[in-house]
Amino acid sequence: MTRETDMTVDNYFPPPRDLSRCPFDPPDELMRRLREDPVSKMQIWDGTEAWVITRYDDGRAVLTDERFSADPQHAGFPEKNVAYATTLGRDRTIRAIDNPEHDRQKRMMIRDFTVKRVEQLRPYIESLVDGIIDDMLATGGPIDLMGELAVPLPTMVICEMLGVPYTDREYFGVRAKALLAAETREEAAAAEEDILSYFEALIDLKIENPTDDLLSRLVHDQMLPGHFGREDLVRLSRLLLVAGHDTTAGMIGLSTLVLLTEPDARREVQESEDPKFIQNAVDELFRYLGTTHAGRRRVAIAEVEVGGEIIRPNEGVIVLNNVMDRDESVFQDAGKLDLHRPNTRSNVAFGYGIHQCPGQLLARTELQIIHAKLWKRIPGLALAAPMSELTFVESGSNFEVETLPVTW
Amino acid sequence: MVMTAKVLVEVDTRRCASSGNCADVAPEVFTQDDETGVVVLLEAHPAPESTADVEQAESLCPARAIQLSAEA
Repeated sequence: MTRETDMTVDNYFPPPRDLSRCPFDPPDELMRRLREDPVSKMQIWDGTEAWVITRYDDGRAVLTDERFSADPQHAGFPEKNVAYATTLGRDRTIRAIDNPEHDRQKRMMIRDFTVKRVEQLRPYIESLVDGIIDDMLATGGPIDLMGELAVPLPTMVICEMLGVPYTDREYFGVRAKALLAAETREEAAAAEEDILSYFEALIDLKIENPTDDLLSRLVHDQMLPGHFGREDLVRLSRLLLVAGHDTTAGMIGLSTLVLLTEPDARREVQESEDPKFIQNAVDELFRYLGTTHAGRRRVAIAEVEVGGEIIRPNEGVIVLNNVMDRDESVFQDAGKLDLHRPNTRSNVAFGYGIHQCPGQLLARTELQIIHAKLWKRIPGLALAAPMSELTFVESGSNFEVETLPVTW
Repeated sequence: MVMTAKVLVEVDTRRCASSGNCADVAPEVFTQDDETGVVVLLEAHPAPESTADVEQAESLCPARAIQLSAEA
């Protein structure tokens, strides 16, 4: 058996998925830990060890316990990779700070992400999706669904909300990818330098010419009166832009792919006129796919017992929300995609605790609109390459498919 | 879980992390402040038909800012 300090392959996080059998399932080793060793240590990229939390109840307990910090500057914090350690992990904004500062900042930036505001955005997002599908139909297949739909839609939406010119998408798209995929500190720092200067210039523009968008409001209501530092605003803008399109794009691609491989589920989505069903189906796709598979990272700042193990101060914790969402004690037949699952809204695909993704309502809405329209408007949608030829990206924060060739 | 029991709802606006989950699943009972996203309780004594939604809101609240108790 693998023990805590073994430096074996089984003990390295993240372990590999079995892509040839079912690419959508979490790695076998993590599922084994959920059953047999639910709170256990693994080794991460920088050679340190972190506790891996796999059960639903344990994970939710950690994420709501103030004895765990989300601050990467705290000793022992288990950072995701070198790119995060060099760039995003050094932010002093909502993702990376504890309360009371977290809630203060969240309340400054959340107004465009409330239930009411996202619902007001729905017709706009619907028109974007219709426009993209019109273009797909005019072009004709085969096309890469990632490049034509999955990346453009969330990019357009977050650009509109933030007040970033969509015409600049290639500039920051390339750099955001470079930032997240950097393998050395130097590469990450270079990509970061570019993207931060971009937002510096954009903030100057918003000071002179405020428009009706989140960034203009943050500049004039928070930064200029002194509630929010300029450096922090630059970094918050970067976070919202990166988090706002990358994760959603990956989820659009993977959710479309899984429906292409599950004919019964696809038929139900295609034929349904019931928004409640589409909403439940999308929540189940989030649960089942668990694309944010690098987990939620925390560090203990006091001694805490979790699932019978003692976690000591300065020990890192990785809460595996994608494995928690396969916990049979909460989700029966958890390994099965069931679009009618009654409690699927309880999934933790967006995390839990105060750091739960602020964009979850927006992301869920984008996915609902896509799946309500795509299958009806292109009923013959099919994969244009065998599943075995698709390239899955396992190494980053998100599990995703690199390109998704489709035709009809 | 008794679906038809009446519950008394309390919210702690100091704990609220503006996630919006409650306003999403039980809009007849919860809404959000337009500026800060903080929970606003619309109905402390919701009708029995709303009990299931309110219980879901309590369970989903990532900041543990909703408390339910049995209504006498």
